[in-house]
Amino acid sequence: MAEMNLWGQLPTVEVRRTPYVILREQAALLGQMTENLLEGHVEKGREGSKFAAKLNIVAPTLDHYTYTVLHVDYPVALYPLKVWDTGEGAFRECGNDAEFVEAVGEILSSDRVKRVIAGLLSQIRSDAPTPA
Amino acid sequence: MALCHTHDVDILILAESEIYGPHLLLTLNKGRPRKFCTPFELSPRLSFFIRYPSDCLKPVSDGGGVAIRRFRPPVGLEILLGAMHLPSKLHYDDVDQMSLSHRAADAIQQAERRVGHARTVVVGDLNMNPFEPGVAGADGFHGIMDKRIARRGARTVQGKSRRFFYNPMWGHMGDASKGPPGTYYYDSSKQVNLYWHTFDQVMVRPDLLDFFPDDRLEVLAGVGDQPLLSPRGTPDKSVGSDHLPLLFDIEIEKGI
Repeated sequence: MAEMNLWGQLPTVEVRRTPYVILREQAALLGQMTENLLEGHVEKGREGSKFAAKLNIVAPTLDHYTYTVLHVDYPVALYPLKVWDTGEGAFRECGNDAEFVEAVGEILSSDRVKRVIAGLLSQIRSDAPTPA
Repeated sequence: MALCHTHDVDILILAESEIYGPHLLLTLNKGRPRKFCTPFELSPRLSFFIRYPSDCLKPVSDGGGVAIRRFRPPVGLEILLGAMHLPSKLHYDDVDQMSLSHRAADAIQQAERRVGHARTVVVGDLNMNPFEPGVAGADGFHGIMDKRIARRGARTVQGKSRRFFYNPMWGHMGDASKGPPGTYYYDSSKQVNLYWHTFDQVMVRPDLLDFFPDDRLEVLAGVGDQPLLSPRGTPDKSVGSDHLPLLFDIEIEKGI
């Protein structure tokens, strides 16, 4: 008897940038912009039935001090998702990737995050040995 | 200020303080031989003042109302200090609070792996009571009321080993406790109105149990002659805060 396909037609997979990938791009940019004095790290995990990721600023020369900028929880379908702005102490809901990019942009370019980056860079540079 | 002087405080942690740090330092240190200092600080919501050299308190991580510091005194036991100010029930539901306490507990575990020990103290305004899932649950802080059980170290839940915290605040709730019935008072019109909440908590890992005297933990209802409670018996924001302060001792010099 011929094999039957009980799967039917599989859905066409649209390649989408996941929130994790979007965060990783931003993490890589931080290293480039600070000559790797600061690094962006993205951790991936699970939060209940959802995927979770968090974006950290890491200062390797300050004993790997870590500042968590934001967390995101997203379902298998990616959206809608929730972004937790750690500095603001507030959740933001995003219905699609444009809204997610906008929310992440607002957080990363906020005065609060700039102050953190400036504080860390200043600390790192003041700790650096002075050339003889 | 009076609180620090009366109780000979070495480490002061404030959440959402509206007092300008340098002003507080000047007042704290006026006429005092041992001076407080503020170490390098990036936490948006928590401030640390210590009566040790500033490099004794190193930042490990910050984020989301969680500030984790490695405290290495010149003499004595190194500890990990996790200060918390988790989001309020006024703005977040139980699911959000659970999710955020899971993340806070996860940040503590990551820090413990980094520093290579679990002599950890968690302290702060968790905005949850000791019996709520975010504090008592294995996915949250896993804070339990019984030291003997806490000494077992951990228990396995759904195939994963989950480390305990000992939460002495279980013994600081209600009229039969030493001190006020809670640390925060809120009168609501909901079906269940607890009135008093014990949102402000300190918890220690089993590795610190021998250095944590239960009888030195107090919810302060007054400082010297100054009551922190109003005549109605609730926290008086006009003299302090709407949360009562916690005072406790970690015997870091014991066993040297």
